[in-house]
Amino acid sequence: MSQPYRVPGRGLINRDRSVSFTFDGREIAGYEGDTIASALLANGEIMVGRSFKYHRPRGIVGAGSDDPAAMVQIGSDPASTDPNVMVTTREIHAGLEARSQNCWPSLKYDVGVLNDVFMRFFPAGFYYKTFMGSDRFRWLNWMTFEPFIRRAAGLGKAPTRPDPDSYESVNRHCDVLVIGAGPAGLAAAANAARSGARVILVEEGDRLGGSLNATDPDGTTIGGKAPADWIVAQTAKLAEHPEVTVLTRTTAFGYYAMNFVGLIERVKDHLPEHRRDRRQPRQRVWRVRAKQVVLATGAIERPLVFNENDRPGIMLAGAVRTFLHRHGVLAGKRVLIFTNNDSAWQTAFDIRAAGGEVAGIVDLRRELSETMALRALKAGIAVHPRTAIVGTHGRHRIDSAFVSSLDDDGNVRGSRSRIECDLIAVSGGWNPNVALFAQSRGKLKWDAELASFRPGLSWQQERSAGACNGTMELQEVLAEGSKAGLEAARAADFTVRAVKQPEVETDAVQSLNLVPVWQVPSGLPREKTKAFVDLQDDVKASDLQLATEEGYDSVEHTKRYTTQGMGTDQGKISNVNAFGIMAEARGITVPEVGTTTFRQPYRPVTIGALGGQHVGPHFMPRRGTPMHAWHLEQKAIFEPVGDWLRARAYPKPGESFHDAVQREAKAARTTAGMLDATTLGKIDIRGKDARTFLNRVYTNAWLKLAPGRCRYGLMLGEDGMVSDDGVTACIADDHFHMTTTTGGAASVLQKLEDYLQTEWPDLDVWLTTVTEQWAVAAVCGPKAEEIVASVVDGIDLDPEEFPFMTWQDGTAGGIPVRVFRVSFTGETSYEINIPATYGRWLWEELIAAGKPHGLTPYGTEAMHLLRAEKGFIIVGQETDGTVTPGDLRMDWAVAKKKGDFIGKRSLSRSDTARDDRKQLVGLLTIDGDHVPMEGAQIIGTAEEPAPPVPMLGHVTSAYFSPNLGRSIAMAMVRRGGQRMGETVWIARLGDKPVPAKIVHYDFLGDAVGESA
Amino acid sequence: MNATLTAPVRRSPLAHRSAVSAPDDLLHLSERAFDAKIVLRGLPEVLAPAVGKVTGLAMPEATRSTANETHRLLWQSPDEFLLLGPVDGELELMAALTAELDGQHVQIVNVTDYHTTLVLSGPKARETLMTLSTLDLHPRGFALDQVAGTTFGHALGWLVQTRDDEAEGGPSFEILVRWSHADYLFCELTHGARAFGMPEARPVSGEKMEI
Amino acid sequence: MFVIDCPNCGPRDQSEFTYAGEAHIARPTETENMTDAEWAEFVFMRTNTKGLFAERWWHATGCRKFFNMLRNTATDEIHAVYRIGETPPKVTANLPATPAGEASIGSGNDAVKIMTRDEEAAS
Repeated sequence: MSQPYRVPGRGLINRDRSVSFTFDGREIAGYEGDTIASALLANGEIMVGRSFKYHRPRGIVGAGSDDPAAMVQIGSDPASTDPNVMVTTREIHAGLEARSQNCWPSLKYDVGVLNDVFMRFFPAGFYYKTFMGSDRFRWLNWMTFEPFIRRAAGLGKAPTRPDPDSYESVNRHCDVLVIGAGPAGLAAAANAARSGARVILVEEGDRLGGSLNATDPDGTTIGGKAPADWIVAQTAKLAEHPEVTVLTRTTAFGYYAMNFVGLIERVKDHLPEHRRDRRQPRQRVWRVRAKQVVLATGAIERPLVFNENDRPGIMLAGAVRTFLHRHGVLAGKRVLIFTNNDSAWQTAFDIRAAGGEVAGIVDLRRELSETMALRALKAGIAVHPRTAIVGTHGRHRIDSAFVSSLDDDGNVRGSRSRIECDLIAVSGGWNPNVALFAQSRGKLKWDAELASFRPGLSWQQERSAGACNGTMELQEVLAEGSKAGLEAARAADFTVRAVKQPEVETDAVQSLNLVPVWQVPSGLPREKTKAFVDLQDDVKASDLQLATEEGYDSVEHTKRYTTQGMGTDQGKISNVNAFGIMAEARGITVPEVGTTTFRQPYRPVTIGALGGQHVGPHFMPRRGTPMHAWHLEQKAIFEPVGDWLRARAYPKPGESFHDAVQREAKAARTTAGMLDATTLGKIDIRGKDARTFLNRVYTNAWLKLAPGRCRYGLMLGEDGMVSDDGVTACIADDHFHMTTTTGGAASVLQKLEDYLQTEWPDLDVWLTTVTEQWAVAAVCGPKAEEIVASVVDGIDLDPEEFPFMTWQDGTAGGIPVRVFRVSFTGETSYEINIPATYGRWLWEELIAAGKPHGLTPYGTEAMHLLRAEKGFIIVGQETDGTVTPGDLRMDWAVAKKKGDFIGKRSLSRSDTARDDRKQLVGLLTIDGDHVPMEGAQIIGTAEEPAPPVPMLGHVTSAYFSPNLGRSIAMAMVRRGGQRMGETVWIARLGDKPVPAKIVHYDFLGDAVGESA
Repeated sequence: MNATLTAPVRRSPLAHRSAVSAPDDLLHLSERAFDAKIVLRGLPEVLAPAVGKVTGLAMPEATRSTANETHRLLWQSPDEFLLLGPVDGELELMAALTAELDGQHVQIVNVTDYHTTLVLSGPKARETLMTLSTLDLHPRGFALDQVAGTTFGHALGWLVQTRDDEAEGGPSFEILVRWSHADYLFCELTHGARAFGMPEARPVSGEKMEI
Repeated sequence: MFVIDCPNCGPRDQSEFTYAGEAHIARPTETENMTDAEWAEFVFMRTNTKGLFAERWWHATGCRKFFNMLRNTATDEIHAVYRIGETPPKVTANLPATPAGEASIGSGNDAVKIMTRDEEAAS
């Protein structure tokens, strides 16, 4: 494998280590240190993929993460394949498989290219106009067409199987974060490091040095050292400081509020499979909180916008230099330079120095520097001043360019002449890379010399240095970097002295003398000019001009209408050109047009990396009670309640879930049942004003509850709506034990603390959560007393002696327990609280003791069923934040005579006091075997009328009750309390409404008897 | 006592886990269960004499802890402190403190079983914690006896540094974590320390949800 | 993610805190004598200020104390934290000129992405 475009003796690749990979199945040879792009170019391949909309051939344009469209799919495994990978940033390794994207059946013969033939019919806003704009294609039709349009477009293919790789996110705090390790960043980091500050230096590429790696090593010295040696020296200095972290292959992708910066480190992507450390994540997100940030992100070259400028073989002039000096690749055998500024001339000089052929320099400017012209003359390079490229030729790679000279007005003059070339190195100027600065919400300022935006006013604690600040000369770049590093360290409260700067000597072209030309004239009518601005999204200058004519003035609207600057590259090389074209079309200046928003992420970040390690079993805590392992051993069915996993039912082998619930609920009333009630929220309340406090937070009266007794309470919001309920026990006059719903535990405590700390700081009350201090086994049913008696000592459990709604302390096996005689089923019930570490033991003792009595563990589904039989509400099931105690017909739980309590005033608001609100009732379907659907709507007629259907309410809970042998339901029904005995109908989607009778909701009372 | 009962068995939330270590003593992770744990609510000047008498400890400054050989007292808020003491000592401590603070506006709550203690020690302890915590865990940001209530991934916990970085074996941290978050946190810490060769513990799972 | 300087625990990540609504809204005491409209004003109405706003936060994972914070909602700049019961300190804030306008810098919104001529002249 010859690598015919490789230049002997050049480049920072390791020529001792050959590496080969495949591109579209063909083996490509390169060296360690190559990117896919440099290896392809070394082998004469420049076309990589096809564009998004027109499927036009796309080649390598940039040399780094600015490249717009040269993307490939890595790998073919449906789980690990990686789409839209930039060939210019991906390092090669053995075993790497790359494939071109967005073309079928192959890169060179693509069916989608038909879109290209019809390009004239796909102007700006085509899809909107065709499918949404006219009466004939309304939204429904857009829905119909969208999938087809999306399929025809699209870039790479997303993996279809779960990602096999692991990712990680880590947090770091630092004093100075330096982003970019070019000359400015290295100088900044070295100077900040001397202060002893914690410094993190981030470099996107695989080696430090930035633009110095793209410089002719023979043409520049820094402090007498060759650039590569200077980089080594700086790196060594950084390594001396223990508080410095240097991250390569790491991109700062987002600058967020308060100097919070997201970094993505590509840990293993560059390594062959056998060298990837299994203990390391594939990628790592660093969440960095920096006291000070130094932005040293360099500048991004922009191309010129000229007719037929999108063919493979048209490359940024700076990228040509990078491939030459960094990778030892000269991307063309005969290179034509096209520019409006001095910097691209360096490309011509470097190519000649490397022994390559330059087809000429086509310069749009009339005034050219004499010294440069002389230098070109000496190098034997033809110079064409005041000339433009007006067209190109070559299907999969250019073979020639057409040039015309320009008149004083900048229009094409005279005939086209043809220049043969296989590469056009183009430069339209340099844009300071202000993406992170803009994300930090700093204000940009227009720089007329650069004809670009650069940092203006800072908003956060950051400073820009070097090319990203518009500073291009190396000596100044180093000075600015050093100053930024010192200032940042000092601003982070460190002391550091300045040291002497190294002298730079260089023969590199450092001047710019730029004459902005936003669109190069072609001498052709607009509709025949294919001058591309955005190479990824296929946006042409004419699309932007058409959008302006159609009235799109806002730059943000134009972006969305034309797709300019969208996609994975976010318009890195194209946006400023686009703003310039918009400005010209509107006859205003570029700063008046403004910019689109620089959004995070700066470059695409794998979703997996953002998820980090919190995936799969690590996604969320699976909160289990001390009895959880027992439930697992019983092969219980679980349900999530908040983060808790609660046993929902315990089906026996071969038993259905429904049958298990029916069996469990039946046993709880006929023999005994036991529920793991540990998850209920529990709050210890103490202080001399505890009663007053409870009196204000619950709707009922608490002043007279005696020690040893318990009471049920409803808690409201200030809007009068039920927010929680539970039983609270009086332990002593100044000491209470409150229980809350499982889901409400955290929010109730927050609310109670809120009132204590902010509204009633005069109350002497302390609150402490004890939810997980206690494991709770609730035993109920006719045999409950006997079972509990064989485990619990020191309490006379006879309901006569230990009445309902009281509690007592006892022991179990010598361990102190607290037993509450409260019930959520209506059966005689004992809720045994034991310190959590003994929970599993107690539970198993109760199971053993209950075995002869038919004790049946029941899950939350049977619990729901049992409480519904008794007509107990569940907050969040019967209530939805719009339900008052009156709506629940629980006025008995509201003390009218006591003083103020949370939400009291709202109960007399005109809306809550009106008598036609929905109220909670029981429903008995006429067909007792029919269990209505929870959430089903209730109507007043046997047939469903035409819409809009007048609705009376909805079903909140519905079960088949094994103890009543029929279905039962609870429902919110308009004026329900006044409609006892009436028949209503439960609507069913696509089926006949079901008749049901309104009854009181205590089904164990006389409701069922009445209906019979 | 009921004769049919077996002897009470006390199980910690991580009874199913054993201590794990990374090679070369880079990191050790274990559970220390059953320490006595008592929440003290009240103003420090009210609590101080009783705490001093019962434990010998002074009240800690904000975000700090005080400790002696048997007890450690963690600041949790201006009026909330967590007292750690010897295993099985909670009832005795409760009784002694209650007697000393009788009639005062304080709250003394036994939370021995609410939390367990994870002990993470070794030269890589800080880096491991940084995979889960947003705190500044550099030695300049978090030092011996310092205390913070924070999140570790999705778990809540109280972190305290109990051994200095310069001590033999490197720094040691303790995290007081609630029962139901303990397994998650144990596994997350081993997961975050994979790069140091820590054997990875997988969370208990396998609960059947679908019907 | 903000860094919030908890008055008790010091600077901590926003993920440790819970937002708790507008500050300085005292719960009325004589609620029985209030009209529906007056009561509704307390329960439902909040100012939704663009600009300097006093709001409450709760340090949920730390000291579990509520405290007040002065934040410029136009720029997310935190000007002060202070305890419950204290009055908001006087601060100078970069405020929007009109309720619908933008603060001169800090929102990242269209109108303030680029320096004005006046700003350029001043710098």
